[in-house]
Amino acid sequence: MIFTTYWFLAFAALVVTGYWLLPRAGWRLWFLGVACVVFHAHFAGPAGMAPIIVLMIVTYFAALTRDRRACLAVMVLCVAALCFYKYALFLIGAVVSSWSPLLAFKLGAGAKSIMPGAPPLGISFFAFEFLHYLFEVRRGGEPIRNPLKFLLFAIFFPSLVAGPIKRYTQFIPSLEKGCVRFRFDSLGEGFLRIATGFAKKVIVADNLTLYIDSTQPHFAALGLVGRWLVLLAMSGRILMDFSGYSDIAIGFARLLGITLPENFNWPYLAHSLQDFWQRWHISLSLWIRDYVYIPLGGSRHGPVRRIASGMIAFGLCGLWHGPAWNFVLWGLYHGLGLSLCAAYRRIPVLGPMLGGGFEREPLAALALTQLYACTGWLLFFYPLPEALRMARLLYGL
Amino acid sequence: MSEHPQPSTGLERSQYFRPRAFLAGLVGGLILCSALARFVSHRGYHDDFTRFHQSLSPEAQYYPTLDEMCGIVRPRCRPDQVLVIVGGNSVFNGVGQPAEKMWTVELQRRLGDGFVVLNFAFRGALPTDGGAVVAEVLRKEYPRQVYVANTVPFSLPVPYGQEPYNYLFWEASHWGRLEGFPPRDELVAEYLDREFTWGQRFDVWSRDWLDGALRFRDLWNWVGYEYLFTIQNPISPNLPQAVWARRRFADIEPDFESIPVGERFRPEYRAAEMKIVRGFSDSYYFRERSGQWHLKPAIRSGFERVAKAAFPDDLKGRTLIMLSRNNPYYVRLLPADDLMRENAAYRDAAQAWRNAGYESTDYGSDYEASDYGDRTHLSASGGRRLANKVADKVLEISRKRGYLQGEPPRP
Amino acid sequence: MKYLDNLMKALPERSARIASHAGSLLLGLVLAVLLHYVLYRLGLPSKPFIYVAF
Repeated sequence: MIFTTYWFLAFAALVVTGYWLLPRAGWRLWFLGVACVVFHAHFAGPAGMAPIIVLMIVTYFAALTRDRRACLAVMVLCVAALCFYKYALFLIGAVVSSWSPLLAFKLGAGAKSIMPGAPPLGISFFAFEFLHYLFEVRRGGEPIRNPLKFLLFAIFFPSLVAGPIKRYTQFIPSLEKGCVRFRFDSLGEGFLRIATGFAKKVIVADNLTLYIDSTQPHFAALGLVGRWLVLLAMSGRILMDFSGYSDIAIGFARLLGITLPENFNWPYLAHSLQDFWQRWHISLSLWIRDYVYIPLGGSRHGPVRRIASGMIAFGLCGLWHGPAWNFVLWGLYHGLGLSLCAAYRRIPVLGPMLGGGFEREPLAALALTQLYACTGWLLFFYPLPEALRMARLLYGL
Repeated sequence: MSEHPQPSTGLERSQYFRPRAFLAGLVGGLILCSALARFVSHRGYHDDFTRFHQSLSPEAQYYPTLDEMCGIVRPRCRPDQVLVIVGGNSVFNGVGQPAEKMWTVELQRRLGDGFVVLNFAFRGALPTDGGAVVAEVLRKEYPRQVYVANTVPFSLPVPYGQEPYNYLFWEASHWGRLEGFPPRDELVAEYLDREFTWGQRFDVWSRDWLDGALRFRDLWNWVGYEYLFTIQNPISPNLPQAVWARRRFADIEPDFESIPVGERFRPEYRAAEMKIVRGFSDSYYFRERSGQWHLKPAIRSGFERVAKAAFPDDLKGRTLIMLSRNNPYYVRLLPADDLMRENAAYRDAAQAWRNAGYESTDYGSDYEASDYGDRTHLSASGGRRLANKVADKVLEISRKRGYLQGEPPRP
Repeated sequence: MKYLDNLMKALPERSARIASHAGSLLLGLVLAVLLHYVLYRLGLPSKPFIYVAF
């Protein structure tokens, strides 16, 4: 995809070189701004740029007013844009078609006629970043007054396509500090990180992908060991692919002296599902926590509300990954797991016993957590019937 | 969910990381890799080369590079010998013929020591793929050369080849190793404008430009061939074979001759095979009122333009295009009318290639069903007959082009 | 890192400096080989699955 094209490598080499050859920090920011626009234009095209330009402008000005209603209105606009570009056809098919197939057909045709061929580049990421920005400004945070810095926050090319999801309170200071002086440390660290990312992606993930593509169609014919190897390959592939991409993004930002938030922290070493979600796609899980789970009530209103908030938060988290029911189910699966994780110790007799057991044998906790997480990938990658079929074959049911 | 600290990377706090030394190692390492790649590919490492069998082909994620293929030629062909490069598709690759019974082995035997025959055909390739590029790149090093490839009537020999082999054409083109030839350049430019965005063209060009400087494809092909193969592939998907060095994979093509002739042509495939046989000519011809089959003018003119652009003019005369006829087992099932059209197609196609400046003829019209293993691939006996015909043509071309001093010794 | 700290502290200052330079050089060489390989993989005509498609 984008990072694995020669155009991008040439672009990044030119941008990093040009950036640091400029003698002044202010010039560097302008140069970076132009580069980000060129990047976006190249991969998104004019039709793909229109939504982000419009949302960027309204978000910027709404935040400057610091008017709570204005911020809320633009937040609604961002959500509406995300729903339209990414989920319109899915929602029409899922909701409307069940009670009026004819209306669904007309709505679908109408939507397709005004939509671009693909969702605007990075819409899932920039929409979430705008929502975060407006939410924070609405509750008293200082807006970004400098339009150039806001532009860079909005379409910073290393993180635009696949994250990490930035927080403006971390990004802007890092940008301001990082552009001032060239440091060899940043260059070396950036290269190391980029190399790690490419190694994960190209050496591990791509090979696992080829293995999965050749063996998964014959899943039923494989022996039990073979099936579990496929599941392990799937689990390894998604981690290496996604964390590799994040490493590349973080590495390129580092070459420019900018620090992006970490996104993965050895998730397959997690001892519980809560721990897993503190290690997996960290920027997304923090966003879901801060802007969905906590506003819905979080854990402040008793266990029932907590479970409901968690299920909604994770259902939306799943839906964010793609417009399909299996993503929603995957999210709900993790929501359920987290609720069980939070509440199982209250089960009389069994709860304290299990809890004590996991404390004495952390490997058992790790194994159970990873079993749950890895099994969940079946729902992520395959429609429900196929996922259930594969799960039955794995567990010998 | 609860708050958690951002994990930090140990490197940011390291007082032992020396960025300048690191960058020196990085740049020096790239230079060393590039130098090693140039050394190994120029020297050549395919000691037991027979052909690009399945494990040494793009099907198995092994993409032989231009220099690698040139490195196969150099240790084998002396300047005083005539280089015969065989291109084309699976038929000329010798599918169904084990290595020792390959038709190109017989061709080498027939031609003798004055010639060196190398089989650079690939499954599913066009006559302009693979070996064609190598032959052109080596035109100055080996001016006494003949290029032989097979095709079917009126299949367009686009100069830029087709997937997955056209990377060789782009490599040679971007490295400036092909001869300048305006009709070909025009066709290539049209293709690029039609099929690729600017970004995609830049990607292919920059891949080849970077590879020209760093030679990464040469180095890692060598590593994969000699030591450890690192790309998952469908031909050897399971460990440990998946990581075996490719030199460990022998050329183990099954032998059609081990299957009795009566069992080679399954009745359940006959309808599908007959459809393909008819397809070699039915969409290209129309029937006149006199009952004669005529090639559609649009097909003729389209083919002529592409054939003329496929190879530079001074290389056409050394190019022999063999038109592969279908197995007589199936051809005999054609109604008389369809058979007349089929024969017209082969006759007209050979003439069209000759009109464009090439040498061309067909083979297989006088073969038996036992000379084939399926509809199109030859058994070893068919391969021997092909070798005889091609040998005669190669000798004829060699004499015409002044390659020979006296007749070559015949066995 | 603790072992690296202990090792470097155990060495005389000059040796520790040489070791850190040599280590960094070696790391650079290793990464060069890795980057060379990555360029090879990126250059393969066939492209397999990519997870993210936002």
